[in-house]
Amino acid sequence: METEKRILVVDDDESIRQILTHNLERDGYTIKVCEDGQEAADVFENGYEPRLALFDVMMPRLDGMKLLRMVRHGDFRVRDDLPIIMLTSRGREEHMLEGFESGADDYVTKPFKPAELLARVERLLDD
Amino acid sequence: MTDSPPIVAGDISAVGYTVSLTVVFVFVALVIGLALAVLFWLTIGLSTLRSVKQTRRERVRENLQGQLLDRTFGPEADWRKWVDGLSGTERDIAESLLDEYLRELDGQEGRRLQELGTALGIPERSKRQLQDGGEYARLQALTWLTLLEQPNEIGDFEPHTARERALVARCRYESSPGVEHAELLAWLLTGASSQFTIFGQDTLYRIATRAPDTLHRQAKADFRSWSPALLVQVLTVCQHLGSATATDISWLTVAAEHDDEAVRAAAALSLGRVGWRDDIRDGRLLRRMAHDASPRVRGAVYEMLAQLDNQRALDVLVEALGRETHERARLAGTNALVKHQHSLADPTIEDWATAWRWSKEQAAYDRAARATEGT
Repeated sequence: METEKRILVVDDDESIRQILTHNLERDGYTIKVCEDGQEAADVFENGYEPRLALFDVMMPRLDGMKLLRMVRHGDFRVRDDLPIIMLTSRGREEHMLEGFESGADDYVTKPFKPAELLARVERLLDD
Repeated sequence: MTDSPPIVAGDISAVGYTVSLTVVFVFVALVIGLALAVLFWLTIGLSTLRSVKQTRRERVRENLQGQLLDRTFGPEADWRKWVDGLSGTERDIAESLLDEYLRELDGQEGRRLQELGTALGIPERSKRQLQDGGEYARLQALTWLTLLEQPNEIGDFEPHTARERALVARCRYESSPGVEHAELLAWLLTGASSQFTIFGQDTLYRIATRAPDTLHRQAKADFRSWSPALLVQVLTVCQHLGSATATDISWLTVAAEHDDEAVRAAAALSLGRVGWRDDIRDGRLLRRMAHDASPRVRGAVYEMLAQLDNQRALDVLVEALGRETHERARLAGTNALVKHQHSLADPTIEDWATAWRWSKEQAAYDRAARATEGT
């Protein structure tokens, strides 16, 4: 499998997972979805290496912010500079600042514009 | 004399008949057994039916999800044609998917989903529900019109309840780009006396962030007629509006002396947020607030004084902490001092010194925990 095209989507909301998968797969990406941070942590531990990851901030078991910090601290068998986009709800913009402080590369607020998300993904993958 | 058989112990006699008690017990047991058997098979039957329906719905849902997303992201949706080909169940499931996706998608795709709502006939149905429906139906209709951004369909509908009023305001706020926020906020609060739901408070907050001065003006005019619960909600919103207002906020100082302690505490926190301003810098007011009979209010006042970030306010706070006897209020004060990064010579009063040390240690521990979190 081409690592360049792999994206990991971590969100506990089924609708968001479906929409993101549909949207990104249409653009040629290979998507793996996880329902919460703990499942994503297990996936990383098992050696899965995406080219980019999208984390929801609020999730059960292990939230997106903690997962982000763990990646940046090199706790998993995945590169610690993995491009990560945080997904946050509109009205909870304070999460953005916390996300940037914790090492997020970008953020998208929900409800989101799919074209904008794709542009952000492409920009990070081109960097 | 009649020839009726002699009644023996254990028999039951009624309307001229005598039946053995054993026969009665057997009969009752049979009836109960039969009823239980019917109930059992009825439960099994209904569960099976529900399971079959659920499985069928899940299969249909999975199938529709793909079609719906293909049309949403594709070059042309042609919803009318798609909707015409759907069965009743499929339309029902499509509507539930639309409800979910409209909350997640914005931009071109969001607008395309809104067109699906029109193709499903939701705006017309909502309009009818607003005219003839019960409260639940009306709330559902207003929620749909908000999601579909169709405020015009609300027409001249007059809200019956505070929840409906909040939803109408939210619909106009979300859907009308040229809406006058101040006017909308005034409309939302006009006639309000009891508290909003959480949704209503969230709506109030969203609109108030666009028109903070209007909120203060409206509150100044009406706050005396509001219930304590509503007043607390408005004051809580004020705490998040920031200090950038040039409006008269004297109503906050009046609210700080309200009969209800929850109102006084919320007013103190709002005053702290507004910052050190001429109209509240009166040292006498600050001292009076710091002498409040309620420890809960005093805790909020200490937070306010620390947040005001002014030497006179800090003097009042230090003086108040020196005489504070309530442990939790004292801790609220020392926590506020640490939180707002005020340095202080170690207090000489034992209880106060202990609280001050505890607050500093907690803050240091919290910083350390955050720094190492995830390692």
